[in-house]
Amino acid sequence: MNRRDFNKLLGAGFFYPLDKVTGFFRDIFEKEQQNKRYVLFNCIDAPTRWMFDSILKPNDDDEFVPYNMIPTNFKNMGKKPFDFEYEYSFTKVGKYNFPFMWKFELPTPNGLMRPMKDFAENMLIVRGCDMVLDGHEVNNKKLEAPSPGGYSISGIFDDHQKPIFGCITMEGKLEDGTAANAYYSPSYGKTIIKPYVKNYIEHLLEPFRSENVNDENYINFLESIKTNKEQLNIENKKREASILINKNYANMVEKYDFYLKKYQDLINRSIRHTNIKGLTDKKIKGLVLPMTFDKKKHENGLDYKIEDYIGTYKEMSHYIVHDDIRNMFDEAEIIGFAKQMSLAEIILEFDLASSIIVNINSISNYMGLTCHEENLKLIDLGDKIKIDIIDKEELKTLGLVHNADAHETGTLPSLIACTLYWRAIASSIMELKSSISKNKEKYKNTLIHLTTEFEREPDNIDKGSHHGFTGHTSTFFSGSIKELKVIGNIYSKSLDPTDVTPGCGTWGKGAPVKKLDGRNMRYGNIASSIADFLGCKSPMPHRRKVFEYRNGEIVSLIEDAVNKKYDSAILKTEKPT
Amino acid sequence: MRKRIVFTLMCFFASAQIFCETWENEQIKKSYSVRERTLDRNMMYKFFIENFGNENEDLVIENILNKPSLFGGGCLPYDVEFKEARFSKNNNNWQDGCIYSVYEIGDESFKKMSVLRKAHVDKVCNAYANSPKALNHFLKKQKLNLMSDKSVENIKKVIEVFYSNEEMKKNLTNVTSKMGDLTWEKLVVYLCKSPGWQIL
Repeated sequence: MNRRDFNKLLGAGFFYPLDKVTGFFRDIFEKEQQNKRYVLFNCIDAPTRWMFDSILKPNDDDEFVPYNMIPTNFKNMGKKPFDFEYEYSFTKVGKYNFPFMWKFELPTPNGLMRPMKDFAENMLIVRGCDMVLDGHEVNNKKLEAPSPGGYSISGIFDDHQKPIFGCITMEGKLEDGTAANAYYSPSYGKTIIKPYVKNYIEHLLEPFRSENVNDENYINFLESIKTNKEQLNIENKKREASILINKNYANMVEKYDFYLKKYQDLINRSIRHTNIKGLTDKKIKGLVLPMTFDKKKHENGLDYKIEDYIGTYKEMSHYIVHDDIRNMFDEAEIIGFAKQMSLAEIILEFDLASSIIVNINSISNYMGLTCHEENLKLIDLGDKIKIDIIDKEELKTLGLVHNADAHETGTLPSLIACTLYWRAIASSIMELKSSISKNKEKYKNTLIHLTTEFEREPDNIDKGSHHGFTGHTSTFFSGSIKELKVIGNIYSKSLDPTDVTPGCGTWGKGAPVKKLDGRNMRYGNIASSIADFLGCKSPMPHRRKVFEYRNGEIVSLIEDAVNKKYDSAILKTEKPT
Repeated sequence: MRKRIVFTLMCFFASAQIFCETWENEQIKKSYSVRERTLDRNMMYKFFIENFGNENEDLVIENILNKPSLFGGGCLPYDVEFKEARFSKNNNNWQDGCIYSVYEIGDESFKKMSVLRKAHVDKVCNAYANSPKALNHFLKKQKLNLMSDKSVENIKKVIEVFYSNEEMKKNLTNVTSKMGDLTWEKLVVYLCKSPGWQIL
């Protein structure tokens, strides 16, 4: 090689991509991001959240189109079935209009109550995110692994983290096809806690007890037989865990038991025997059969079926004929949620993991008299029809599980069950926030993410709601969020012909964002923002952030939330067939 | 002078390029190297029972066979006794059965090594090393006993139970035969706790 060629070769060095050089330094920087913690609360099956944190009319001058099947409360509750109206009401939280339930109080420990508005402290709501494709599995996995098949947010984050367990996933009843299942790290395996585990803390800590960690020769032995770095790292973490756990075992177990009682109490008080004005303050009469209705037909000429007349009282294949529907929640529960919250608090307190993913089950065991759909008959009376029970002996008192994916669940059980469900979640997370915030630095470094797969679109008849996958809301809490903020745009009324019910009211369908060059927000934008806070690479680096961590504060990078008028040129993406 | 500055800059960028390439290759290697396959719960269970006998079987069931979430090895879709919430030794094919739910059919076959998995394996290994009966069973299978000479040949026999890779065997024999305070208990527990033999 002559001198000229050599110089050419060296000169080529100038063109070496700068991002590769900066990438090296970024990698070093990431290793210093050891204090951030991430908690994902994933409410599986996309429960209705328009009564909780789908902010459908953030500002007074935003257009909001009411729709009968998008309610927050009852209006004029009478004493007979169907003798009520649904209503969507607002209350001011900060400068925003929040749903009705934020008017009231939430249970706090020791039998006390606290205004729900306090829950909005250090809160950032990102709404109007278009998830592009339909389906629970793809979208739930996306919450953790936004790029299918690629590394997940917690997975990338855990790669350089100190805590002994990396990511701990509490899978809830639904394991497959969820965010907890989608964790994928370049180096570590997640620590899974399956729903059948009776005692979470013992499951996690017991294997480390009474381990002899003083045998330095064993580490030397592993090094001398050329054990790879990952395995040596696991061994070192195991030794650290043994020391920490053996020192604090009794304390951790005692605290876990205490927290378990605390959260179980909060959940029970949020769900059971409630007296929420406009919701559970008056008797809610179940169906009384037989009932007579004016005969109705669909637009296509087909006759209404039973579910079209009385679908609002439906929970899957059962109709609620209970005398007072409020009482059905006297024994209701969210299975495993108290255990999940207790362990989450222990993990954060003792810094056992860098990230936590929690799949939260639906509300269950709400018990009352029900009639199976096959035990009903529709009798044609000319201009009218009569719906009656075939065999009264077949009426059963059942402990129902609320189907959060409410395709076949009416507005009435959905409104009550979801409001109580969100109360329990809000009350528990408010307590978790309050515990972490005792250590301000820790609270500033922790990001709590509360979300579902997507919003819901109501049907045109009150018998269920469907996947509103062109809208998604992610709610964040952190000490780094200085003031309540709502970002992301939605349509006040969508006329998209591929919607379930085009032209129905405001439900949260994502609309273009000016600061994203007039494009709709995608989940990759949210993922990049989370990664920025955590100080790791984004699993979708081509997606711009919608908020970022700057000088110890989370700041929004896009405009404040507004409701937009529908542009008929925009259609949602069809799922490929 | 200008030429020297240009030349120095060129050298800097060239070396930066080589350095970054090496670093990037390391990152790629790292991402491949972790996609290792590990012994699943059934293989681990069979390994322990075959080599150490039925002593401590309950411990192996509790710490390994009962932990598909840590060790992988979903249940087989055929001949599975679904009715049992937990398997019983009286069921047919109980080792292959779903332990907690039929959803295990779709469970991953292989799991990455993890801190919790390591803790469970170590617990089993410690129990075996502390059990003279199990240790005798193990050594007897290699035609050895607790009093056998710790010769290179005998050590090799023990290593071969855990490792089949020639280079690894050679390396291990080298390291262990030089240990001054080597006992059969120590050798077995060190090998048992070393993660390498669980990686396929």
